[in-house]
Amino acid sequence: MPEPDAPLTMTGGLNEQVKNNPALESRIKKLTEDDIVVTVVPPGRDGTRLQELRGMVPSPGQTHLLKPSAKFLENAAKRCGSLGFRVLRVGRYSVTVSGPANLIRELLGVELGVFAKPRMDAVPSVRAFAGAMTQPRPSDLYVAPVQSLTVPAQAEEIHDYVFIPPPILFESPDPPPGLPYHHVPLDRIPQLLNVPALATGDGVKVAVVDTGFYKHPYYSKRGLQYKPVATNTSPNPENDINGHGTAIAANVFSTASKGEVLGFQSSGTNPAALEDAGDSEADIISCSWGWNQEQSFPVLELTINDILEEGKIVLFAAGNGHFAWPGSMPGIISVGGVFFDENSELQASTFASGFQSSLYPGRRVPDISGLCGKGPKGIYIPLPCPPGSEMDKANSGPVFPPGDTTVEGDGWTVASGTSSATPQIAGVIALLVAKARAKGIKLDCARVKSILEQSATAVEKGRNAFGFPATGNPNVAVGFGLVNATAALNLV
Amino acid sequence: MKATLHVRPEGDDPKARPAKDRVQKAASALSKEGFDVLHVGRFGVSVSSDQEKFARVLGVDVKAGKVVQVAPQHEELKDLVDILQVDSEPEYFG
Repeated sequence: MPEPDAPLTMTGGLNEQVKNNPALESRIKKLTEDDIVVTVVPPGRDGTRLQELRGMVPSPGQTHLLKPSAKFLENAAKRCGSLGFRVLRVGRYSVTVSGPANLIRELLGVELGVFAKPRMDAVPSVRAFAGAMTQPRPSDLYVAPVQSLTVPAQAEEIHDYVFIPPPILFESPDPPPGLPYHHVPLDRIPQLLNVPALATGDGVKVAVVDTGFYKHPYYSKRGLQYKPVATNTSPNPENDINGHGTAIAANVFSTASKGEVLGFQSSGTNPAALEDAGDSEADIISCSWGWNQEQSFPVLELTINDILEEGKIVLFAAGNGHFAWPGSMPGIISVGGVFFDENSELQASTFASGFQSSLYPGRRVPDISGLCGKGPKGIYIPLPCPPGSEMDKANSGPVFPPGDTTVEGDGWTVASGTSSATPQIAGVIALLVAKARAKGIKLDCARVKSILEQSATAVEKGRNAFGFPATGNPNVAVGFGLVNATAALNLV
Repeated sequence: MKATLHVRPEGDDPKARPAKDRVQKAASALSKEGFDVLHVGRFGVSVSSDQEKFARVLGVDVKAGKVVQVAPQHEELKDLVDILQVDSEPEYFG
């Protein structure tokens, strides 16, 4: 019989994980102080021990003989009350009660331990073989008896005490509802970028080169053409540990609902992913990454120019307070950020870059802008991401700001940057390509850039991440302003 | 350590795309020298090896910078490759 006031036992190597982790230590302290919730199971109507039906529960319609009578449930609740438990709910088959650890130890004669629920990892191999190696988060911890989750009772009114671990959360295909702050959902973007209802970019392929492309139910539920592409250098593009690629790809579909995203997992300065994207059937290549201080790499630069010469349309993000390269290359479409504010006004995003290149004389970055949140974190657009990925963790937290009010591990993040603005514009370009294709016209990058610049909505308010004002049109904060899909389509 | 080597084109224009067989030749020579060839691209070959091999075969200190001029001892490589860029992860903007 364990001592009533014995400390909770750390199971499954948790001792090591908790060491030097104040968040886990604090959670365990709280678990020690909090009451423990127990499901109390009375006998079934015919006296059946309900816990013994695991794997043999009858089909709906055949359960009436098993369902405990109201009297059985009431007796169980009364008994729990007399034992010192707090009755939380009398249900159909059980009674939910709570009580302190010492009461449970004393009454049930069990040793209580702290467990961590298994955490899904973004990498399938880790999921399958090394789940225990994943560092638990405070919300993963729970208390239960060390020996078994079911403890037989010594009372007539109660057959078993059952400790049900917290469930593993699966990512929702839908964005978190009711965010309590100003934000722009993906389905609002078409209106803000003036996308005509009938323009869908049907069949136009957009290559997105990024961290990976997890198969999130957001994409499958909506029937979106979201296709990770396996290559020699990246044979498993669905493994997206970072989560950035999975998240930002959703922006393409916000403006080109019937476009096709080909996801190429990038590999740093190794030009393989870009070359694979260039060799694919995609007309448009969208890249939401780069290096700061215009640090350039010759093989990559030659490769990008070669892809442009082949007639592909290449976009790069201008950076979030970075002097980004390749976002400053003259031949590509450089994308900055405009913030649609709480008063429905457009202003330069304080999170997005805009600068005069020191590498290419006369080059003003960006050319054009998409939608982007404001500093310091750009929490603005709810985006799907792999549960437990770096993107999922980065902004999660209950209080805005600095948190985005999403739960860590829920497969959603609220984020933005020129990373989101770039694929939004890639989607708009897909609309232009679809229209041009129908008219037998081939658009190249220079022509598309000119169309977007001529048709953009001027933005001459606010300052960008460097404090440069959006003065005049074009300006160094946002280029020619916010992309306007309807006006651009009229120029094709 | 991963890096990409630029393959010198045959003509006078250093920005021209090298012939495919030159890029392939460079990949074979690097492979013979013990490098793991990761990707044979349009303008270069991406390889992986330890710092010592980069120093011994290509005459470069890969810690010295992200983009460095190579000085191979190997006759064939001397004619084929000129610049090495050390692989580095980009920043993702959002």
